[in-house]
Amino acid sequence: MVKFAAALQSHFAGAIGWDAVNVFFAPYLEGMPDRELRQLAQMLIFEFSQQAVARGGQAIFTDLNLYWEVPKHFRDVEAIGPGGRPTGKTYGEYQAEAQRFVRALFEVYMEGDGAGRPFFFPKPLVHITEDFFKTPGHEEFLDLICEVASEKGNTYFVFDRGETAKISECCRLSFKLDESDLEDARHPWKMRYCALQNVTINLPRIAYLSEGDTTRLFDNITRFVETAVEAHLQKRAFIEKLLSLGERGPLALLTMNQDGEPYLRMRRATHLLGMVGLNEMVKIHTGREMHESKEALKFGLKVIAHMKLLADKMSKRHGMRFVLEQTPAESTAYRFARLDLRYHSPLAGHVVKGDISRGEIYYTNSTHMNLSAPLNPIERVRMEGLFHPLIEAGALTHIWLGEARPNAKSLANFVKKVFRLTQNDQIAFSPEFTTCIECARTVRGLLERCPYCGSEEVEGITRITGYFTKISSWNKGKLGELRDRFRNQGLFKEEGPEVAAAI
Amino acid sequence: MGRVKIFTTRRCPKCPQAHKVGELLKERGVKVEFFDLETPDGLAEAAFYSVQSTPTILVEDDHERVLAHWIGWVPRPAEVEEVVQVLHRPRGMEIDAEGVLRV
Repeated sequence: MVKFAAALQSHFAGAIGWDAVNVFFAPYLEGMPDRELRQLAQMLIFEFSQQAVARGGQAIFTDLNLYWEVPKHFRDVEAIGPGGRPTGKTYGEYQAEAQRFVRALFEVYMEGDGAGRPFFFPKPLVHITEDFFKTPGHEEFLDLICEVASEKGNTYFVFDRGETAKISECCRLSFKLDESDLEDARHPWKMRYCALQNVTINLPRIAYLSEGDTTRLFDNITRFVETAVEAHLQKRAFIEKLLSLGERGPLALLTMNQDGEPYLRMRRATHLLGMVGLNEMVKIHTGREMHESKEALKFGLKVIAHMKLLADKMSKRHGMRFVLEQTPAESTAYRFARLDLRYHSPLAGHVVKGDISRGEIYYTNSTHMNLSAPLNPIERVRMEGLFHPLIEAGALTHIWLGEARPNAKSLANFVKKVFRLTQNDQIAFSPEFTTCIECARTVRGLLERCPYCGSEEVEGITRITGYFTKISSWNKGKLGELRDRFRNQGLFKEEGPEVAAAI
Repeated sequence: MGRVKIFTTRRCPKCPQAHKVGELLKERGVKVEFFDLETPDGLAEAAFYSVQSTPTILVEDDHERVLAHWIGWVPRPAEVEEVVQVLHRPRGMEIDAEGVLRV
């Protein structure tokens, strides 16, 4: 699994995601003593975190989709076990083993690496579903994953409400499963999905060009989306040309045919339309940021609704899947702000976020609210969640914790309320750490020197967008964002239930 | 005074009936707004209210607080009117911040 992920990573810039990992491992774990099971969990996480095979010696960007219950679409599927042979049982019958394994994985996450740092990869994404809450033991498991979220920040909470089933990966990308996918679930190895690329639209740029004229603004959005679609068509034609070379071509791995169709199923590929700076676009056009007035928020929703309907129209026109995705924008939020400062000053100077004198400028990511606004976390999750049903290919709300270390029960209560009372697709809690290069110890918060040995040889760690990384590798734009982030310190400790009840 | 908001799509089988209820209420002097989810305005408004299926009919007060809603089915006009009556309350009767009618 790890080696194949490494092979795939050399073909894809984004994440390599694996679905229902604990469920598919379960038939192999029957009768395995706890100690061995724990060792296996540790080995899986260690190997994924150490395989520096991606660009520039990075670890493989891996996502493990995990479930407490066996998902409905796999429950009655014939299980494959040791030797690659059917075991004669269904995956539903392996729920207890799947639960043992997912618990073991989170116990490893809780410990962190040798210096107590969180593992950057593989990312654990836990699906919270209606069935999750009906499955015995869920409360204890929710406490465990919330404790990991508070201590190390690893846990991603993916919300699959109603009959929704999806596979999540990368910073927030997700593939919603339709009827034909659920049919494929009878043969899980057929469930192979990819997004060919994300073409991101600079929304503040459109607002500058439209000069306050709403008709022009929506015409310009249409024009920009059509250009993005054209970029996708060109890229797809190029990739298809390479794939047509088969085993002799550079994408030979993706053309192998083991089950009646090529490994890369182009018919199921998605083409992502991303966005950066909705908040700034709304501010330029209406004078308010989205969290400042209901009218501004509704205008932001109208922009994304327009883009979603355009994506649907383009999908019909070209017979391809165009869907919106929140661009993670590690560098794009910085690059767009710099370009607009060059081409749309002086107005852009009043709009970009960050500190112009330091060059630490950025636009707010995707459809997020101003991240420096002192919003109650549940209000942020609710407001940002209003956009999520329109963004089919993935959305996420960050809750920046800073030095705060909320108790697990408080976070668990928060997660339950988010599932029941909002439309939010995915949340993650992000603490900050300082790790000492001299004495190899890790403490909470971003500090300039190690509180244990006094060394200034320290490294800050926190989530840049959809994953953890060392701050020394960040671009100036993200450093500016880091300074501005509103940390939810103290909001969860004792006030969790009250805060959540305020939805 | 408040209003009734009706969310529909062209293809949903129960939506024409929801339209009829809306027209009837309009004739009786109720403020009714229609939203087509296949337009940006309609889809944005639906997202704002977390409308997930059609038809959806909701009644809200002046502060855009939802007092009642019908999701995926069409009520009798009288049922909607019953809620709307609260909005047509005589002067001196107010809905407080918790959404409770006070005299």
